[in-house]
Amino acid sequence: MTLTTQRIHHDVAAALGEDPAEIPVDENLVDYGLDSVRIMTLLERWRREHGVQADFAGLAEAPAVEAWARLLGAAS
Amino acid sequence: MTATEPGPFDPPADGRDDAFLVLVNSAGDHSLWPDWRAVPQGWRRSFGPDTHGECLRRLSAR
Amino acid sequence: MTAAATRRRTSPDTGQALRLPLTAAQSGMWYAQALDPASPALNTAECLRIDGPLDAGLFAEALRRVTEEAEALRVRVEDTPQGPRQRLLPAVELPLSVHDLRGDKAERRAEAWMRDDLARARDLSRELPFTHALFRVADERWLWYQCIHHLVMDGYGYSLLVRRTAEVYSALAEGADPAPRTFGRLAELVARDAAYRSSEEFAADRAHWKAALADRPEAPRLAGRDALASRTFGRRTAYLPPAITERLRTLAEELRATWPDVLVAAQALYTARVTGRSDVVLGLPLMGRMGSAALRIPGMVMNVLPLRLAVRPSDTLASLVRQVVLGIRDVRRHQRYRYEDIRRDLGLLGEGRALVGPLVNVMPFDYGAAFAGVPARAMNLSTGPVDDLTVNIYDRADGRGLRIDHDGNPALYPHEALAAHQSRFLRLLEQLAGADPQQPLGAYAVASPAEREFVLDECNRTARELPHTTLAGPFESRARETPGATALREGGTALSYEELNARANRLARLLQDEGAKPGALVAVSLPRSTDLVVSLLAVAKSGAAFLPLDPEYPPERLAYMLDDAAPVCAVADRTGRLPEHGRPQLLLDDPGTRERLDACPAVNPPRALTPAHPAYVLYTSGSTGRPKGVVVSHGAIDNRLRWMQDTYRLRSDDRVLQKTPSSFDVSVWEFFWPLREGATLVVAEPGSHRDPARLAATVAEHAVTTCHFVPSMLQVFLAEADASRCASLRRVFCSGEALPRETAHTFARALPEVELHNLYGPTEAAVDVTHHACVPEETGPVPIGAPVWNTRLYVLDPALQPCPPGVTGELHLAGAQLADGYLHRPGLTATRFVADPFGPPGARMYRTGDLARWTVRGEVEYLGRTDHQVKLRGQRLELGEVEAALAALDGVDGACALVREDRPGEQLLVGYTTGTAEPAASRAALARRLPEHMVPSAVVALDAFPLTPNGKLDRGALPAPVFSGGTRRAPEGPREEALTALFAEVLEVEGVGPDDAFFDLGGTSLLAARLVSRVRERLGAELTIGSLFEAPTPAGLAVRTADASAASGDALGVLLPLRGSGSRTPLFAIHPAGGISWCYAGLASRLGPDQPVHGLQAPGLLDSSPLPSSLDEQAAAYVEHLRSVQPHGPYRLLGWSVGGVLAHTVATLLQDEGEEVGLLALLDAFPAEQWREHPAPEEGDALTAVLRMAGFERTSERDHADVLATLRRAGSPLAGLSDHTLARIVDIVPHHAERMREHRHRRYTGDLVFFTAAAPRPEDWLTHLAWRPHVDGAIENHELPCTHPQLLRDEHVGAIADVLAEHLEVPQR
Repeated sequence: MTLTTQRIHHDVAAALGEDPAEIPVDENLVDYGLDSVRIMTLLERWRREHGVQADFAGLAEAPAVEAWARLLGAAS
Repeated sequence: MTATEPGPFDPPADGRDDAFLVLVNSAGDHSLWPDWRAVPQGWRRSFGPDTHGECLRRLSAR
Repeated sequence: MTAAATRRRTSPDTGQALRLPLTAAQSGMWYAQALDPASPALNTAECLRIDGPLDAGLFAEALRRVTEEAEALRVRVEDTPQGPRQRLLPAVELPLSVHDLRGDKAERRAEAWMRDDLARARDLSRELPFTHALFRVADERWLWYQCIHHLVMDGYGYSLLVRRTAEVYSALAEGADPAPRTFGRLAELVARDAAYRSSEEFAADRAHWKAALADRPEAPRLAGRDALASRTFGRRTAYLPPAITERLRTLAEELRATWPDVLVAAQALYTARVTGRSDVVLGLPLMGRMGSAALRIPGMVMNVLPLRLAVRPSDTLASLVRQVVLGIRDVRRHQRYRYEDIRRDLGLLGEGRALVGPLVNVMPFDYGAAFAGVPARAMNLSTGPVDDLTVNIYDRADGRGLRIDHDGNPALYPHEALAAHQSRFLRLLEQLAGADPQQPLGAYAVASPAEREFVLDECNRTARELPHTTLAGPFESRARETPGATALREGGTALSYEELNARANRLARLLQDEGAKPGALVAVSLPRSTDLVVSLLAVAKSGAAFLPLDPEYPPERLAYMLDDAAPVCAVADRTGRLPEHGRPQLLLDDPGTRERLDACPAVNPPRALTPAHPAYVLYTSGSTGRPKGVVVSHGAIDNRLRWMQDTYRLRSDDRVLQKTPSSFDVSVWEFFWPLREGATLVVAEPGSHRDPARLAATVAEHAVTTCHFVPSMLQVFLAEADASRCASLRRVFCSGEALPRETAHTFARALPEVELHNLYGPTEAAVDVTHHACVPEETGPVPIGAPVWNTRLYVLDPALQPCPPGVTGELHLAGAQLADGYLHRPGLTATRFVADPFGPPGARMYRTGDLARWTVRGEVEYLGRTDHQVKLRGQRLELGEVEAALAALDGVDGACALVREDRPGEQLLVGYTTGTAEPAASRAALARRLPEHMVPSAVVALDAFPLTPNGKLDRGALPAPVFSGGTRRAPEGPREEALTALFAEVLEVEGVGPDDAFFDLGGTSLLAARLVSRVRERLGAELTIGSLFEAPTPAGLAVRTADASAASGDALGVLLPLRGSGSRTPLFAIHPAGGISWCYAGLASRLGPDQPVHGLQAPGLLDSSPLPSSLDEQAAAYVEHLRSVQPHGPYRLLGWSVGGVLAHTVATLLQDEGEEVGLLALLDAFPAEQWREHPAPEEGDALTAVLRMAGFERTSERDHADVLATLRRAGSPLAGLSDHTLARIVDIVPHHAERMREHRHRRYTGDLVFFTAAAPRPEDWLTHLAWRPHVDGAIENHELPCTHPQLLRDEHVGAIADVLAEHLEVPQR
C-alpha cells in the first residue's frame, strides 16, 4: 500500500498529540515537538507498512509534512 | 525535607494547593496527613482534604 | 595465525593542509582532555557484530573510502598560541588491523583486545583520532571495532559512518559503484558554529539559560557526593523485557508522549526519591542537528542540556510526563548553547560545581545496516566520559526490548551500588508501566521488596514483653530488698536505700497534700544535690510527673515555663530560686518545711499510678520562638530503663555519676537507673560537669564505673583531664551529638579497658532509641546503631516510603518510647507525631527531622538535619527560637542565627541583626531571656542580609564574626599582662584588654580547657575551668591566681611530672644548678600531648634533708626515682647545665645495670674538667643561678629580695618560691658547683645530642668536644644563637624541641 500525504499528516499529528487541523503542512514540525525519536518511530512504521526507502537524515533535514510527502514519494 | 524544600507535612511552596487530611485513631490521637499517601491502618479521615492551614486550625482548636 | 597489524603512526604530512578552529563542541572536549592528557575517558567505541560472510579486503576498501569522505576523522588537533586548531589531513593510512581469532574463546580474546585499546589515551596532536579493528571469531562471524575520540565524533556521527560503510561495502560486493558521497565538509560545521555564536539566537539562548537556572540549583547526586572526573567507568547492562517495553510505548502514547519521555520521567522520579529533593536537574544529551546540514556531516555536534523538573509525591505520572514533554520541547529551542558555557555563565566552573545530575541518553539512531545482505548488530562500548551517572538507553529494534546501560563513575558507584540503582530503576519502570498514570507518585516505592522487608521488618525485630512498671515501683522494691546498701553519695556523705526512700516518701506525702497525683505536674528547681534526687523520687512516688527547671535559666524563661505548664506546686531550695507563679512552693532549706517533713510518714505513699501516666515533662527549644514541653509516660521511660539494664547489666557495686543537668533528658537514666538496680548514684558537684579536672577527680575519688558525656565534652575531657585517674570506669555513654570517629579512637587509646557506647534519641522518645557499641578498630562515621526494645526506626523518602539501605532519608521513630506529645499543643503534636504506615493499626510515629540511612548491617547512620535545629555541645536549640528572641528586641528589624564552624572543631552560635540595635546590647538582652547555651557568642550587625538570586536569605554569605577586645585599659602588673597575653594567644584575637570576658571573645569550653593548661604551664598557677567561669577576665583571674601559691608541695619534689600522660617513652629532664626543673615546662608543651616529660629536681628543696655527697650519689638517687616511673629502658635523658652532667652520670649508671639508654641530650653542659680550674661560686653566684634558671642574666640584683622582685615582675613562677626554698637553692647552687669539680666521669656508650649556646661568652674554652673522652659514640652538636640562660626561653625552645622531636619520633605541635 502506498503512503499518502494524508496518512503522513495524520500519523505526524498523532505522534505530536495534536489534531491534524492544528498542524499546517508547511510548518517546521520541530516547533510542535517533533524530535529524533518521533521521527524514527514514524520512519520505522512507514518502512514496515509502506516500504519507504528514506533515511533518518532525509526526514530530519526538512521536517515538514509537505517536504516529507515529496521526499517519500507519497500519493496525494 | 531539606532546609529549602517543604516536606510531606509542611505547607507547600508558594502557589501550590496541595491537600492535607486530619486523621484520627481509636485512641483519639490526631494526625496531620498528606492527601497523596494512603491512610494507614487503624486511622480514619476526620477532616479534609483541605489546605494545610485549615487542617492545622482544626488540629489546634482541641 | 597472527594479526596483520596495519595500524601504525601516520608519518608527519608535508602537503598543504587546511587548518580550522575547533567548534565550541569540540573545544569542550579539547579542554576536558587537556585536564588529564593520560585519560582515555574521551575515547568512544562501538562494536558491530556481523553474522555472515564478509570479505575483509572489500571491507577495508569500504572503510578507506568512508574515511576519505568523512573529513572529521582525518584531523590532527594541535595547540597553538591562538588556541587549539584542527589540521585536516588530505590523506591518511587507514588504522585498521585485521585479526583471525578463530579458535578457543575467540570472542573473549577479541573483547580483551578491544578493552585494552579503549583504555589507551590518544594524543591527538600526533595520532589519528580513530582506530578500526576487524576480528574474525568464527568462519561466518565478524566483530568490527571502532574507537573514535569524542572530540571528532558523536553518537549520531557513528550512525552515519556505519550506514555509509555498509552501503559502500554492499555496492562493492556487488561489483557496483557505491552511491555518490553525501557527507558534508568539516569546514561547514565550523562555519555554522561560528555563525551561531555571533547570532542573535546565541544571545537569546544565553539569556534563556541564565534565567532558567539563575538560582544555581544543586545538582542531584545519587551517590550523595561529587567526585573528580574518572578515567574509567563501570557499566551494568540490562534489558527491559519486550512486554514491558511495549506497555511503556502504549502508556507513552496514551499520555501523548514517547517512550523516552516516560523513561526520563522515571529517572527524574527515581532521582528525586533517592536524593530526597523535589527540584531535580537531569542532563539531556541532544544530537543538535535537527533541520540542519549537520545531519549529513559526521562530526562532534552533540550537546548536554539541563532539564529541570519538579517531582512531588502529590504529582501524577501523567503530569510528570507532561512536564517532561514540555520541558524537553523548551530545551530543544535553545539547545545550541553549549553546556560548558551555561556552567561558566552561572559561575559554576570556578567553583567546580556540577550543573546536572544523572544523564539520560536515549539513542534511537537509524542503525539498520546490512553488509551485502548480512545484518549487523551494534553494541556500544563507551559513550564518553562519565562524571557521575549516565543512563544510556538503546532501542535497536531487534526484538530484545530496550537495552539500558547504567554507566557510573567508579569512585562514586562501586559495582554493587550501580547494580542496585539499575535494578531499582527497572523495577520502577515495571511499576509505572502497569499502573494508573493518574495515581499520585507517592504510591511508588523505590526500594525492592527484599530491601523493604530488610529495613522495615528485619532491622526492627525488637518486640519484647515487659512487666508494667513505673519510675517509682522498681526503686521501692529495691529499697525493700537492700535497705542497707548505699544508694547515694555526695561528697563525703552517703545515704542508704532505706534512708533515701524514707526521705523521698516524706516529701512525696507533702507533695500529695499540695495536690500532686497521677496526671498532675510538679516543678522541681534545685542545684545538683541529694535534695534534687530526693525531690525527683518524691514526685514520682506521689504519682505526679516532674518538671525539672534548671536553676541557671533566666527568670523570664522560668516564668514562661511555669505559666505554660501550670504545675500544682513546685519544689525548690530557697526563696528566689523560682519566680513567683501563684502556686505553692516547697522550700527544702526552710526550717518550716523540714518540720513538716519530719511529721510525714516514711512509708511508701499510696497512689493510683499506671504506666500510661506522665512521668516527666521536659521543655525543648521551639522553632517559632517559644519552648515546648514534651510529656513522657512511665511506660515509655520504663521500657528504656529495662532495656538499658538488660544490655549493660549494672551490678550492685556499680557507681553511676550524676552530672547531667536535670533539664536534659539524659539525666533521667542517671537518676533512675542505678537506683532500681541496687547500684550507687554519685552526685557530682554543681558546675563540675564543665570542668574536666574536677570530673576526673570525682571519678577517681568515688570509683565511678558509669557515666555519660556529650561528645564535645568527651573530647575536652580526653584532652585535658588525666585519664589514668579514671581506671574505675567500666562504661561511658555518649549521646546528644554526633560522635566523631577520632574521638572514639582517642577514647580507645586513653581508656582501652572501658566500653564506649553511642546512643541517640530526641527528647520526644524517652531519652534514647538507638544504641551502638563502639569498636576501636573500626573507621568511618560512628553509627547511632540499632533500635532498642519495642522500638522501630524508619528512614523515609519524601513520599514517606522506606529508603533502601545506603539511601538517605528522614528518620522516623515508632514504638513504646514515643512521648505522649507536647504539653498543651495539640496542633504541633499532631504534625510531629503522625500516623505510622508500617506499624500495627493506629500506631504513631515521630518525625525527627534528622537525616539518616540504614547500613547493610542493620544499623543507622546519622547524617545531619533537615531544618534549622542544631545541637551545640549536645544542647538542642532551634535557630528559629534565637531568631525570634533577637527579632523581638528594640531596634532590631530582621534577625537570623546560625552555628558556624570557622575553626575546625569549634562551633559558635552567631546572631545577625539589621536595624539600629547595638550588637553588644542585643547580646546582653538575650542573656537575660535565654538559657546560656542559646545565647549567641556574638551578634553581628549588618546593613542588610545577603540574598540569593531568588531573593532568599543566603546563609552561606553571612560573614564570620570578628572578635576583638572592647575595653581600652592597659594591663597592670606582670600577672595581668601575662594573662591578657594568654587570652589573646588562646583565642587568636587582637586587642584583648584585661577586662574582656573570655566567653565574649569567642571562647568555648574547649578553648577554656586550653587556657587553663597554658596558665598552668606558663605561669605555674593552678586554675580550674570553674574559676574561669566565675572570673572570666584576665584581671579577675590575676587576682585569683595571685593568692594561689605557685609553688605547691608537689612542684618541689624530686620527681616533677611536667606531663604525666602520653603513650610514648618518657623523657627525663634533670634540673640545672638551682635544682628546680620548672624551666622545662615550655619544652614539654612543645613536644606534644603524647610525650610524657618528668623533671628530676634536687632533693631537699622542701625540707632540710642533707645534700648528697657526690654527683654519683645524687645520680644514683635519681636512677631510683626514674625507675619508679619507668622500670626498664630504653631511657631518654636530658639535662641543662649541671643537669647535663648528672644526666650523663645517670646514663652510665643505667648502662651499668644493663639498661638501654635511647637518648642523651645535653643543653650547654660541660664535663667536670672544664670547670676544675675555676673558683667556686659565692652567694652572689647562687642568686645569678636562680635568675639564670628563670632565663635572666643578673644585672642589678644584690640579694634575695631583689631577685624575687625581678622574678615577680617577669611573672615567673619562681617568684612564688618561699623563703625557705630560696635559701635552700642558695645552698644547692654552690653544692652542685663543688660536687661537679670533684666529679670523675665514666664512659657512656652511645651517641650524644648536644646543644651549644653559641653567643659569645667569657668562658670561651667551653666546647662540646670536651665530652669526647666520655662518650663512645657520635656527638651531634646544634648551635643556638643565644646565651646560656636564654636556652630555654620561648624563642629558642622551639628549635630544641624540633631536634629532640626527631630523636623522640614525636610529631611537633
